[in-house]
Amino acid sequence: MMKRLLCGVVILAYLFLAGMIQAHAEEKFVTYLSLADYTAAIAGLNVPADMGCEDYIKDLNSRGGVEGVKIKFIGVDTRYDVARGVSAYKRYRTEPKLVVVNAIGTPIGKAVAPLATKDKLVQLVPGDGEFQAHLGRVFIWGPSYQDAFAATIDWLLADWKKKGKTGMPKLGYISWDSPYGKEPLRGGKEYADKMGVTMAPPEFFPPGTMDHTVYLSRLAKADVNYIFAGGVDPTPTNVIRDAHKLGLTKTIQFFCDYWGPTSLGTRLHPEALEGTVIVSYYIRGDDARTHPLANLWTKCGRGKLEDMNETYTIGMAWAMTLEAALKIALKEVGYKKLDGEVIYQTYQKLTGVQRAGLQGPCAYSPTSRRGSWEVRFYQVRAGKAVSISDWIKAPDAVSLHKF
Amino acid sequence: MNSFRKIIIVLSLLIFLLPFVACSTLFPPSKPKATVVVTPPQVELAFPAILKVPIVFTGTGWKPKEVVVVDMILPPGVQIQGVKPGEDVGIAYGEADDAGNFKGEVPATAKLNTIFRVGWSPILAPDPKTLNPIPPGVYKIKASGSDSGVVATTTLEFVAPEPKK
Repeated sequence: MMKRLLCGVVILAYLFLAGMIQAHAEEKFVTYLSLADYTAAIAGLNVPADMGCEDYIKDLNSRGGVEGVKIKFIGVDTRYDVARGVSAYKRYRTEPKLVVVNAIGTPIGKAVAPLATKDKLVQLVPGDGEFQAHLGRVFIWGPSYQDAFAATIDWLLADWKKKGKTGMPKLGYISWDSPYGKEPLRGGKEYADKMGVTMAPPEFFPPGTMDHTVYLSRLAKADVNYIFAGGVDPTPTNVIRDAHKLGLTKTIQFFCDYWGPTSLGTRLHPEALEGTVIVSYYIRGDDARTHPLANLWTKCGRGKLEDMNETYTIGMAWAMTLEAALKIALKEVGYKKLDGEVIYQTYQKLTGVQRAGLQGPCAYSPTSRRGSWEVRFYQVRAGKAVSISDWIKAPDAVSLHKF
Repeated sequence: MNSFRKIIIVLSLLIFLLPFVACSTLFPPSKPKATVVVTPPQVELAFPAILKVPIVFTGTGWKPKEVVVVDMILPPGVQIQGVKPGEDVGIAYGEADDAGNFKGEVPATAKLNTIFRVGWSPILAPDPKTLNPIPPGVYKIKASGSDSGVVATTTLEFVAPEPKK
């Protein structure tokens, strides 16, 4: 009797152990770290972007992941604070199978880059052309800021010609007094010179400025025909609101970059923003909300589709890029050997990968850190961002600057 | 016989060297001790005056070129937005130079986000209505090397502002 009992216990223990090993073996995953801002300065755009990323990952995982490998999303609220960003990176850098770290915000991206590089991870940053100029493990989300600025110069030259004007237009620039605010001109200024566009001295204002009339008045006095307004929404919205108050929007065409008016700004000041042109590497307005993947917004209980901020699509594109890299990496090396180095090598093989049209085809390659080359122009019309161009390949403005 | 003697000699030598090898493995030569100090050691919780007071961490004995992260250890009950209970909060960082010295200053964003627990308006402006300074007291500070894993500690005292006369 005792022998049988003992035998039963041994078998049960064996089965339990085998089950544990099996369960452990089944837990295949890689980790994605977002050094985000959920409660501070750029939360308005970052929160929906990370929602898009997390929702896409959840959906992918619910479908079994990539070849059974799931993605673990870790989002940390750094509050757009570099010290917190670096500390958070240090805390999470040892997470099992950490392969990608997305530093949302140019200053955090620059601070974390040497650490992520030492750890042999892939790092993502918004649009800093410096990382295209010095090829390493840091990849940008789309074309660089300076490329988008150069595409805008092409657009305004065509606009100038279309309007039958003679001579060359003069361009004004206004943005945050920060590394992000100055980045478009590092190569963008050289492109303007190359195309014969004169630029008025750029105006930089401290983040948090309530009234921009002093800066705008200086640009108006410089007789500019076009103004490129930087900043993360709703900052550019507020700049153009002040320009509208000064009556400048009647005579000067305003442009914004990727972080220009989203649904956040167009709802606040539709009248002031009317006619503003936005250069974007991702789809906006109804293009974003009618995209089949936008259904994830409602499927994941985020609310009504009309409340979806278009940056939701950026987050989905980050996740889709990692998904595409995982597919290749798993095929080439399998799960056991999968690490940051493998993913880094794989990101360079993603040239041409499509992300359901949320942005242009992936341009990552051994010589490119651009997430894509294409930009699209939108214009604010009756409070909505309406597409006014097809995808256009942006000029290479990074190569014009000495970094 | 000759080869037997050789084996004995080699074995004797090995036995003789073994304690030294073991000792050097078990007790490796001590690393230079890393240090961190903060200037000033006492800071008044006065706003906006704090933005003009540089709070600077310096240290020696770090691994050359490593990033040193300075975290503030939060006492129980002190909550800071974006920081999970039990987690430390980063307030500064700096890169050690070739001699292992580092310097890192608390940026304005950390003073606002962490020391004054401020809320932000959507136009990237701190909202003065939301100022909520951390409780006055002595806070433990932990500096850690990102490569070496070495940790050094100090304290930073926050004092309540003098009442306006």
